[in-house]
Amino acid sequence: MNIAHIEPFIDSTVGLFRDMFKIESEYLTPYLLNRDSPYEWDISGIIGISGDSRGVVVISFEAAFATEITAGLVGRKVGIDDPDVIDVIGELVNIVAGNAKKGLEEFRLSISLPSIVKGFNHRISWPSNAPIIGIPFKTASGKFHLSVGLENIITPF
Amino acid sequence: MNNIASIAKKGILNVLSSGIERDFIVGERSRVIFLNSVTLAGGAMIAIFAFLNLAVGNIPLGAICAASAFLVFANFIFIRLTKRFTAGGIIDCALIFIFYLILAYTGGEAGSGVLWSMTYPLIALFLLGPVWGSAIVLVYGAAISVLLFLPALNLARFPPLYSARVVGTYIFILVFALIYELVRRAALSRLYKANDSLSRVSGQLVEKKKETDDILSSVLEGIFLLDKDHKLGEAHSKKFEELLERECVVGEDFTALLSPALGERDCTAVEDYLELLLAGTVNEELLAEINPLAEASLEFARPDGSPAAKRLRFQFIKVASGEATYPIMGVIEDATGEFELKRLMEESEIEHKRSMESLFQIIHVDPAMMSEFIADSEAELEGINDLMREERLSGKPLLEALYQSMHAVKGNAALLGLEEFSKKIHAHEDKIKQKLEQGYEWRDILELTIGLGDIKRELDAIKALIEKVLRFQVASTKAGVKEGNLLAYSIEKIVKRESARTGVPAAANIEGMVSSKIPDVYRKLVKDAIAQFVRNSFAHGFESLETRVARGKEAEGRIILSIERGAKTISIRYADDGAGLDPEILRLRARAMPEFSECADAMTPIDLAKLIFLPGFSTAADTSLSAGRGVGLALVKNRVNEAGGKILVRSARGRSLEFSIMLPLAESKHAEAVS
Repeated sequence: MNIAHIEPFIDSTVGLFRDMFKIESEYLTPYLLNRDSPYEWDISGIIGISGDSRGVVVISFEAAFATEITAGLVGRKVGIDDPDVIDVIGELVNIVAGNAKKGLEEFRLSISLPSIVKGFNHRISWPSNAPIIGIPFKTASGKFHLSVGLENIITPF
Repeated sequence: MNNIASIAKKGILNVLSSGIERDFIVGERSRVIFLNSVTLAGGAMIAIFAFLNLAVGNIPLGAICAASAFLVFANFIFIRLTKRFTAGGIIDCALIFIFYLILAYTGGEAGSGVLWSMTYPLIALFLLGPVWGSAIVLVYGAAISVLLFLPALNLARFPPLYSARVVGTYIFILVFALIYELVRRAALSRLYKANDSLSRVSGQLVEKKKETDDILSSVLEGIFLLDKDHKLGEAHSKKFEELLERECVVGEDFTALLSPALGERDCTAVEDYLELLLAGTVNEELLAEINPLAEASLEFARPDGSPAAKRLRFQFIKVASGEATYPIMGVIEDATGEFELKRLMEESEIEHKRSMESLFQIIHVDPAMMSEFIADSEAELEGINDLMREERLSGKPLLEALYQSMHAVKGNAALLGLEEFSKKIHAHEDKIKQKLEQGYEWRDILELTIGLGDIKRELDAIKALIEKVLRFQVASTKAGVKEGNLLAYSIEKIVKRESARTGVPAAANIEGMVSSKIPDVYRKLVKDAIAQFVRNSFAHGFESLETRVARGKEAEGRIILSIERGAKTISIRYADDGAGLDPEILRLRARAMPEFSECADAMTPIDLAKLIFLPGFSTAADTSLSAGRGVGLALVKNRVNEAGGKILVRSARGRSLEFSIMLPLAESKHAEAVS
């Protein structure tokens, strides 16, 4: 996995929260995700990557964070099951993917349209056997998480 | 002074040329100037005559002169205004015709009036051209002859012979004027033709040059010419400047141009090479082989200051034509992409060689030791990963812990003779050390995590390899070693780790755990399930020392694992001697959950026990990621059910907790290690 492929997603996500919501994100220690371990997040956006590197980037949110962001945008309190939450999170992930695209232009990578998965303890089926890096973030409004499972195709081995 | 002179000159020119531009038509302007000069001069002269005659009292002649002068000046203005030069010319000729006749007729001083007629051929021919000019000149000649030969009209009273000579001179002048005019016109027309042909050729040259320019600006190679002193010629392709990223000046020395990007030694080599090329003594193929710039690596600073590194391929060719001003043509191609690819391929080959080496080393290690190494390393990596995931360490202590873990694994790898793996870890270690020494930021930790992932993957690969190899190995009867007992070892390690982490003393008894009995397909599931049970035991199960002693248990907690394999099912049993399940605590928790708040009081202990498998259900006060999040058991149950199996729990409050997992066996489908 090439760190240069991951950074655009990190920058894009952090930038989005900073610019759109004025929320500062604190980077916590990245670690290796166990593919089968329970996934304790309530809603995730999944972005597929193909090209020189192949795999997925997943942005996950806990319910409290997702609902707070949505409430801020729609102007009323919402629960995690409110359809607006999916729309808002979907939009956010779209923007993140779009912005990340610019940072990936110099590599031969293409990004898929993101899909949204909602449900506590949903499981992600990670493609390939590449190690999965988990990058947790903390903000004043809650936690979110970037999971990156990318495998280099072109480089040797 | 100069200004006045030039203004005066301009003024005169303007008057005489009727204000037409210089390049009206070649030759035309001079004709116009002549016309105007003649007109003005003539008019002035006639005006003078008018005065003279009037002064001496010769009224009739004076009046005629004055009238003529007036007409001539009128013609001048007419020409100026209308620019009808031909018409003006005709009018002039007519006026002069009449005027000269009158002069000839009146005789003048000793008959000198006829002398003026001699200028008529010149004037008429120039103004009206050879054809009409000759015509009118002949007519005038006839008129003059009549005037001179007829005694009645001959006021000057010339003798006939005199008159004949006058007419003869007139004809002579006519002929020469005609010849002159014809020659002049011929020369003029040749001038026109030459001009035309020149501008045509010039147009063609411009076209051809444009074609060449088009080629040079589109071609994908950098093409340039050098003269025998190695100086640049003017024609070069656009790509040439693009590749070298600077503007190139004609006449610049080629080697000087490259010297900031090449070393000095290379520069001399290039000069010598070009000399050889010019000399023409060496055969072309040999020359191509010793080209010092065949694959040149150039490093230079761009105009904006940023550094550039390129790989360019230079070719030098001797121009075919013999005595060319620029005998050397150079062609440059950008080969950076090619080199990159070549480099990647070489790297790939090296990587392949290394992995073969690795394989060789791995299969030479004793399987038992290998199993232990793998279990140890996995535990080490998981341990360090847990530290990172649970944010228990950060900053410098984290890096140091990382370093130590790597170091430990590397040591073991080296001991076993796994050179390649050891080298990889060493490289990673170096990176960590570098960050420790030179400072780091969050991004560096991310890089190290990625590196950790790579090492883990390598380890997994080795593990997979070993397991494959072991299956092919004939059962060895190494005493006391159960092949493929990786699982049991792993579990032992997990228990040891949790014990160290929570500070609760406990040990696992794995004797009943002959993990080779477990089909491959269930291995991960079983391992994860047991790992979850272990975590729960430490988090909820084992009581404090005082409580344990009070309950008559040993200080050290005990975990017992066993496997029973039947024909159709395999059961895995996990038991700890901790506190077991307390129904009242479970009931409290159930009351707090909206789904069960009403019936919580009515639930039996068995119902309450089932609750522990629900996601989100947890009685632990802390919600560290290890246990207490209430998802672990739910996940385990999920996966067991998905595999078609069952999970049971049995609890004796205050004494023990037992989990049983039953999984179905397909008929002899799975490959297993021989036991």
